[in-house]
Amino acid sequence: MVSGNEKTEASMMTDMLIVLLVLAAVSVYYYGLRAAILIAITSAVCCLTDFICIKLRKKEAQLSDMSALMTGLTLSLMLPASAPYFAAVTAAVFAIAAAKQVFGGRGCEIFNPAAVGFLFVSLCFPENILTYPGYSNTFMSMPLDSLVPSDVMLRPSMMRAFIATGSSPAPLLDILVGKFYGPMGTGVLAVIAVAAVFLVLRRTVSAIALLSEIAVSGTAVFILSGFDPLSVLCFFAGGMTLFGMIFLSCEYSTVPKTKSSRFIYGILVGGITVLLHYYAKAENAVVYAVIIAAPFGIELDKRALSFAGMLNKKGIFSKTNKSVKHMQETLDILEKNNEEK
Amino acid sequence: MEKIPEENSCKNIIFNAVLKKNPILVSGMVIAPAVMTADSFSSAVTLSAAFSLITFFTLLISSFVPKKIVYTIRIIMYAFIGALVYVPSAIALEYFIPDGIEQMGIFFPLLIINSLIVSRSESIFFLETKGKMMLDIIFCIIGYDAAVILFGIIREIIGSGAAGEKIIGMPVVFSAFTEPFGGFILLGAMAALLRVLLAFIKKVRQK
Repeated sequence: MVSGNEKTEASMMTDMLIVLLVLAAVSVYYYGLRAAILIAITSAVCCLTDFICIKLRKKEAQLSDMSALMTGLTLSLMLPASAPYFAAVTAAVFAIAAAKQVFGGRGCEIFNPAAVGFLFVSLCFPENILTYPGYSNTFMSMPLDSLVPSDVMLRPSMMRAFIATGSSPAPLLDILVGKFYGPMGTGVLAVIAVAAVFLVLRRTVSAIALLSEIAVSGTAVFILSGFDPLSVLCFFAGGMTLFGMIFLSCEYSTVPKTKSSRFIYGILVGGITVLLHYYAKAENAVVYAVIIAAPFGIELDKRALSFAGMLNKKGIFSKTNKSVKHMQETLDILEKNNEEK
Repeated sequence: MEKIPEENSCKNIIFNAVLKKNPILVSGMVIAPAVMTADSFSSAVTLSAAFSLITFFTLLISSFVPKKIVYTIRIIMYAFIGALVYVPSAIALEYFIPDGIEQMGIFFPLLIINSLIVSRSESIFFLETKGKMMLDIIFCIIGYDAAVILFGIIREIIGSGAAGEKIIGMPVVFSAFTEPFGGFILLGAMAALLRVLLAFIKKVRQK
């Protein structure tokens, strides 16, 4: 029998998959067959690794669990279209085996598996993962060899130029439609913004966390760039910032459970992203920020729940008190955790 | 005279020191120098030599510290002995492997207060005879050295595509394993494999 909670999780996964598939379609449109092969390889290897790890742990694999596919899709969109196939396979295996199954599988991850997988390959193969081909509307524009031939022009990302100059190197329209050097599926700002609205309205992504992340980082970049709105858009489109905020930090298994924790977590992710971008000159600052903030999210949840439990014991707040909706939800989570214990 | 229990037999002491309670792979001791410095065979050998010298002589001299002295003072005395042993050890190692010692940087003097010295001097010295204590220390050091050298070799092969500083033509090189974070992951994987091996040995023994 499927419980109500599992149903919600399945529906969340479906929403995420729909959005990720749309972004995958856009990247295939821009980079052709090679992008499709990369997406297929990464997703397939993630699912296969997940299945093998579950079997090794002597657990039952569930067909309804699409989290590995989601990780695979997210991860593939973060790679450049020129990424070697072995790098995609390495990222997928590492993401699932080292960042997901080692910690106990679905729902037990501390760090977002896709973020960990991406960071691992970007450290292992920086020359392949941090240089990008230009977009093209021809389906067979990119060669299909694992390592792209040297005649294919690979350049550093738009974000690298933005970090160097401090101002947007691309015009507004190109930023909105993702026509710049960067990862294959994380720069189409217009589509990602619509996806964010869709996911927030469907309650798949935490509105509190996402809005606080966008507000904090957007405001900081606006001020630091000398009140230039184009720089803010460039910041969100390049370096997979908005993509990372939606699919890495606000993804339901990574984001904290209580609302107050989500708010603080959002501020943390946004703040750390800006700090790493401006002061560490990190190209994909949001990926590092998500990994740094993840343990804080868990701790914030613990603090919020123990605080709620204390208030409940003292009779200050109870589930019957309708005036504090937020506290009621926190108490619900606390009750559920106690039942699980 | 009290009969020596089976658990304290020489065979068991050696097995425990090298495998079952391996200082680095099971007890998680002295991890930082290994992760930070042992990224190749030669650097792993340097670390092993430095660790062996400092730990062995510090523990040997520390075994003469009387039990009557209060715990806090005893610990300070161990650190003091470690610092004294460090001086001749540093002179000897800088003479034989100057480059290796220079590469170790701050992690070389930090070996004076490594956790194995504190744990072994406190838990074993006052419970065992001197002979067994020395046997335990020697095999603990051998267990640590073997693990660190194996760790350095694997790290060099997969992280730099080399063996003993010679390129061996690996199809893919994962340079992240030469970084500290990759080192932690590799050490974790080796610890997990050792647990699998220990579980297998236990199964075979039970059969």
